[in-house]
Amino acid sequence: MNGMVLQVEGLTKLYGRGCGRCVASTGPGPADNTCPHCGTVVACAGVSFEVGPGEVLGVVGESGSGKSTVAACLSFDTEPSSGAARFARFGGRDIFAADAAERRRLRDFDIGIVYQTPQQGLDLDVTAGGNVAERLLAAEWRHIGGMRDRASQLLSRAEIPVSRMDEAPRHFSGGMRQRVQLARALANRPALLILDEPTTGLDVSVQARILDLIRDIQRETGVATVVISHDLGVVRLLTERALVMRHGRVVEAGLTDQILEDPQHPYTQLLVNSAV
Amino acid sequence: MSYHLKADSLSKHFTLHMLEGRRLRALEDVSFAVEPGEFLGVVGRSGSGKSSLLRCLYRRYLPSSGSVLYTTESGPVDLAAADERTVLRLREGEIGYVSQFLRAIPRTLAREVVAEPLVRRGFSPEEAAERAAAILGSLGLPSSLQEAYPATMSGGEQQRVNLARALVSRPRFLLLDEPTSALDPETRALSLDAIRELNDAGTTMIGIFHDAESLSALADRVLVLEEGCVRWCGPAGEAAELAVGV
Repeated sequence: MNGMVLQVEGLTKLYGRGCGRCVASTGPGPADNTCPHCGTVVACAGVSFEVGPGEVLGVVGESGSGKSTVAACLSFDTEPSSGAARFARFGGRDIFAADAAERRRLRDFDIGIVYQTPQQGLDLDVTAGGNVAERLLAAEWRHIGGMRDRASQLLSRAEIPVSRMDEAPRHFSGGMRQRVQLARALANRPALLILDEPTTGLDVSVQARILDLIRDIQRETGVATVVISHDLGVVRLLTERALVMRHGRVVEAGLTDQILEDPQHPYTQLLVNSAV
Repeated sequence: MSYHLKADSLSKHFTLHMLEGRRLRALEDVSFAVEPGEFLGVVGRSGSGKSSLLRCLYRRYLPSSGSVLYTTESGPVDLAAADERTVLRLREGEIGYVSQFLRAIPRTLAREVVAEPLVRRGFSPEEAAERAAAILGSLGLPSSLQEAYPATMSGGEQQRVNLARALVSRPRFLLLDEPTSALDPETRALSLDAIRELNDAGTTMIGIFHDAESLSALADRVLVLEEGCVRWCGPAGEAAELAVGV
């Protein structure tokens, strides 16, 4: 795998029966995701990228560009229609070809994910400590005291006061919930961290604190990270390389500072010029 | 002649898709070379392409055509075409860039902004902080400000933080885009001393300066740009009447 942590090749996801003309008839050219022949929605097609150890890759684009579909496929929340994702921790094999037991194991040990909506990543009625411990249990931790120590260590790293670890995230603010998700995602020292719009919908100051935390933790752990965001500021702060997606396709890829200062694709130029 | 960096027929055009695909020409057929340890000054009027040139060399801009051969220990790399990881590795390891304006890392103290490149290279946080404090001190930034956020600082203070961040890791190659434009004469002299010290120690530099004093203090040779083209390139002494004052 050339030292890469993850190599995604030709990732494609169709919603609908498909007619063989869907991919050719959609995308930035026709400016549509929906196949005019059969109505199939092409959420993403032909998406390829690599992430190396310690790297942070940004995926930017507007709503409906397909960026979250990429995250959903990598975290087994949805089944890709075609394509491969070779993963070093999986012996360099394609995780999309993994069976159910292997997928569970990959999710439990190797791939951490933080969702935009905490409800997706947390059980809001189970305590913060319990949410983290659930990951540890899945990874076959059995000693209660040990689990509690590890959970409290992870939560305090995510700036959740230990005094609140026995409260349910339902009683937490949006920012705190995201920090619990982060603690949970990192519980078993994953090789890959996927952050899907981790700060969208949060107040600016809360967002800033989470971004700082992500940046620090990423530096400390060196976990290969994919950050999905519509926010160019988030991508500028966290990433060194980025992909720009539109209508389910990657329209531009390169160094983050180059994409932001010298965007090549018409859509990227629009995106950069629209940033407030 | 051995070169550290050689630009060959470098051109940069912008296509503005939001303005009916209008094309802007920033650089046209620019060729020059810099020897190891040399200081090349770049001068020209506003809009002549100076900053665009430095950004192309650092790959913040994607060159439209031509090559930028950069000599590494394992041979030449074409920065205009190299893959992103190669560019990032060179930026991290040996090519520094001081932009006109500091893009401060939010909520990070000045000393940490400067120490960060060292920490990334494996220095302990303590040693990195010590070196950062030393270089900021040599640029005349008082320690009270070193423990403040650059976003709240004056232009001149930010500029020194920016310069310190590049100098602290002692890169092999340094691009300077008007690094002293917002400084008073006294702090400018301190900055020029620090730049010259690194240049004397062997760092190859390409720098844009608007004032004759900085240019004559640092440059071995001067490249004059006009409307994106090289108008003249030669020894700094001969450039005085051509370059200075533009």
